[in-house]
Amino acid sequence: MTDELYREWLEARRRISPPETLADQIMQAAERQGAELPVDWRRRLVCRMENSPAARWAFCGSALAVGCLPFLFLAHFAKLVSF
Amino acid sequence: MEVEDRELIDRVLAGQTEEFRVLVNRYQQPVFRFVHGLLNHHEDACDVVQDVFLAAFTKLSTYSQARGTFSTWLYTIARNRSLNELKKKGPTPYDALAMFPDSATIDEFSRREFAQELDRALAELPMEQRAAFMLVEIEQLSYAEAANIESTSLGTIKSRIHRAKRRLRTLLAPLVKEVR
Repeated sequence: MTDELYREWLEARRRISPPETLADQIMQAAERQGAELPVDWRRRLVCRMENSPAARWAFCGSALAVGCLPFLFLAHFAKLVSF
Repeated sequence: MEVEDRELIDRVLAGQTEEFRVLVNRYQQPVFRFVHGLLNHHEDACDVVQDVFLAAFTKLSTYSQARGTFSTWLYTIARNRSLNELKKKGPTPYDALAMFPDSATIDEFSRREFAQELDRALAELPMEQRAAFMLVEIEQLSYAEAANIESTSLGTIKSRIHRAKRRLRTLLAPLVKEVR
């Protein structure tokens, strides 16, 4: 009998829930503080790329452009030194 | 599919603060249960839980998965904040939980009485035994997780729970005789 009552008590304890408005209160307070939270631009970039194909294209395009720069420079320089 | 905690944390740190709501919804109930068990006061528990999530939000960049799961980290903050609250206010009077309906039969009455006595006995446990008992018996965490949250060894957690159960049994002994 007491074991059963003990188990019932444990179950009842596990059913305790916070008020429904608590999550909203937390989020309101968090949003107020959110403006002061420093944003990590690297994480922001990774998140943008994960969520948006356009961001992935833009990032790959930029990387390609930057990667091509030395070759463009070399080509330009080769013109200057050619006889 | 459920998004992993780590991914949600990364999104929040990247400026998507609304994603924090998913973490709040995921963990508010266990954290509230734990804090409520430590403080024995509904309103104080709400305040402390809000404080816990705000602290987690502002210090999110310091969280490291190497030290444990996000829930373990939240429980650790909750434990520390609850301790501070108890130090500030002193032990709060026992706040009976309405677990059973008012229209109770004799059997329900004895059940309710038993549950209330267990609540009272839990509230009378020393803080470290109560915290260990809440984490392992109510929250059903492993001994290792509880030891991590309490910053102590596995052996100490086991011994705290053993002592807590023994103490509960002693405190309930008169009632157990009545029930039998």
